[in-house]
Amino acid sequence: MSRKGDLLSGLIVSITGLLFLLSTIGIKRPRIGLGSAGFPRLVTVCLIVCGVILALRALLSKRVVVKPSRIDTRFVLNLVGLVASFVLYLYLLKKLGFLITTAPLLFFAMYVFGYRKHFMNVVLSVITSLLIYYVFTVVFKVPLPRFSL
Amino acid sequence: MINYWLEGLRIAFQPFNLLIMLVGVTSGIVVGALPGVTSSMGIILLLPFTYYMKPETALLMLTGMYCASMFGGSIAAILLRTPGTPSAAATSIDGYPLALQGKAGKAISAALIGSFFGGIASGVCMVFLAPLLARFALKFGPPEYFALAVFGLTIIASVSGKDLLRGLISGLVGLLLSLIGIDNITGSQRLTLGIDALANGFNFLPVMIGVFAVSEVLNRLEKKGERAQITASLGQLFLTWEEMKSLVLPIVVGIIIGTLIGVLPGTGGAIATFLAYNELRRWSKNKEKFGQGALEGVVVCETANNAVTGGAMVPTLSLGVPGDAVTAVMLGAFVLIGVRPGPLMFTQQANIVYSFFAGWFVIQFMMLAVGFVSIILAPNILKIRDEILMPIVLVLCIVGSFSLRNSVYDVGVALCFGVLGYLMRKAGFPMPPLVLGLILGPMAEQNLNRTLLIAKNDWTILFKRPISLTLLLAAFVSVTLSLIGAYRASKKEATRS
Repeated sequence: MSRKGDLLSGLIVSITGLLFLLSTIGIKRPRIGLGSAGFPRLVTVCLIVCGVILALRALLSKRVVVKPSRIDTRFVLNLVGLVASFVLYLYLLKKLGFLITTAPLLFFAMYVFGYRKHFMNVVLSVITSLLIYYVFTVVFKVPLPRFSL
Repeated sequence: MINYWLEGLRIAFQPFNLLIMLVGVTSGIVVGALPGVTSSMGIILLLPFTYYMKPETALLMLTGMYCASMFGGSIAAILLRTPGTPSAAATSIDGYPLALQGKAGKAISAALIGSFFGGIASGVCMVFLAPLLARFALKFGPPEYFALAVFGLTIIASVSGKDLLRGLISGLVGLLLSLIGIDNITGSQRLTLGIDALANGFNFLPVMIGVFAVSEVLNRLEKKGERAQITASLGQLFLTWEEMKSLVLPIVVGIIIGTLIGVLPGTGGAIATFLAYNELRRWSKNKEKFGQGALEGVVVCETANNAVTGGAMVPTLSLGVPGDAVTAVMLGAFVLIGVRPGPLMFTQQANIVYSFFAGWFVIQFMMLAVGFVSIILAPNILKIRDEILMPIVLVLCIVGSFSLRNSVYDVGVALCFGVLGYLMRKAGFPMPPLVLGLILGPMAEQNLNRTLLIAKNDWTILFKRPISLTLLLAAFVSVTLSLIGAYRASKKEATRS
């Protein structure tokens, strides 16, 4: 990791720890035992300390700064597209059911991964969705979401 | 006693029961290998099929699923770096690098051999040492369990890779995640940051699916082409004589630690595998090999993993106290099929007990046979192109996390943790400590709380009780040795550069 990356990681870790530590302020400490906040406070304080050490280590490091490799914009676009498709999938899963939503997700995911044989992609997406649906609902008796009006 | 055994063997070797065991073992391997489908889920899913069977037959089928799924978990851990079961998480540390080196077949073969010996040895322990070990486990109270959790957390030092600080942060993140939601002691909400959805906390499995499987899918999106390298050398399935000899020590370590951890109620395969891995790595002459693709690392994890099974059945059968999460499900399944575990079971349902004992060993041999077939078939998954395989893995992750509680929320958790896991990997944070934190967090907190409640805030109780003192000393020694090792390694590296 670059020094910048370590510094950023350290700060994120410390801020996260601080955020969670602050959320325990309202919890009262019982007379006996740790209570609800005792252990979380111990963990968050340790997290803050470790984050600060990571950040300080990055600041004080004498490492030669390696020029960061060029960001692959295609990958970033693919990643954002895949994450966006996750979110849309989650939103539609209960409404449209497993079969209707999973086949398009599979198609899109395969496309993002670089599979460009569109006809085969459609066939594979539909067959895989049907197969998984059959195995889980019929064989394993797991009630996957179904489309209903 | 001999009559009981003869009757047990007669029942176990009935053709129908053999067929049922084969179904249990085969489905166990498949369930274990499917990312997101755990042993517990497999047992629950198999349960409806057992309702119309005799109790002993049903018990044999469920046991087949239980034992074989432990091995099955290693297949996905090695081939896809997506542990099929939580206890296979440690297997992926060395298993996946071995797959990257074109030794996937050898890694699964070694895992199978370890699983077989682990299962056999833990079966022997279950049969002969059960009453003794169960009595010892009864002496464990909250201070001892807390000390055990602390000892478990010291393993973070050895699974952190080169950067101990990053490993520590990862472990602390795991601990923090395990604490979010409702506190078990007081029943109050905490660390939810005002978000209602966080009140239920995070279920272990979706988090695991996210950080191991989904993040791997995202990682694959960035690094295309690695899979071709694995596919090129799938032919090496059998181990050489030298490699076989190197497996003896890991198998012994795995058996001892796995069986002991299995016997302690409340622990489980995940803790056993990480502990066994840590101990073997610590005493190994080739420490640097661990994490880079050491066959010994895979074997010790899988041996411990399967050695837990028999150990965990000890308190389950003799006391009716489950040894881990999976045996808790098994216990529920026993009751549902008409078997009542407990001391009286050995006299009142002796036929069931001894057919179970006899069937246990038959199942291990069956697992060995079916497992070898699966080795030949399993690496074929790798021949599927990344562009097709990874989206399918993604959908399996979605289904796996959904079917746990039929909840879309769990799918969301898996996907969110997938992104978090990916970002953590990119920033160089190792994943195994996060899992350790998640597993050991509740155990450490609840038992420390109970300890302080019992001792009225007197912390010295932890050092007054011999077992907890021994465990805490072991934790101290473990950390010290790891720190010395890390210091020596960094010094060596500095001298080299």
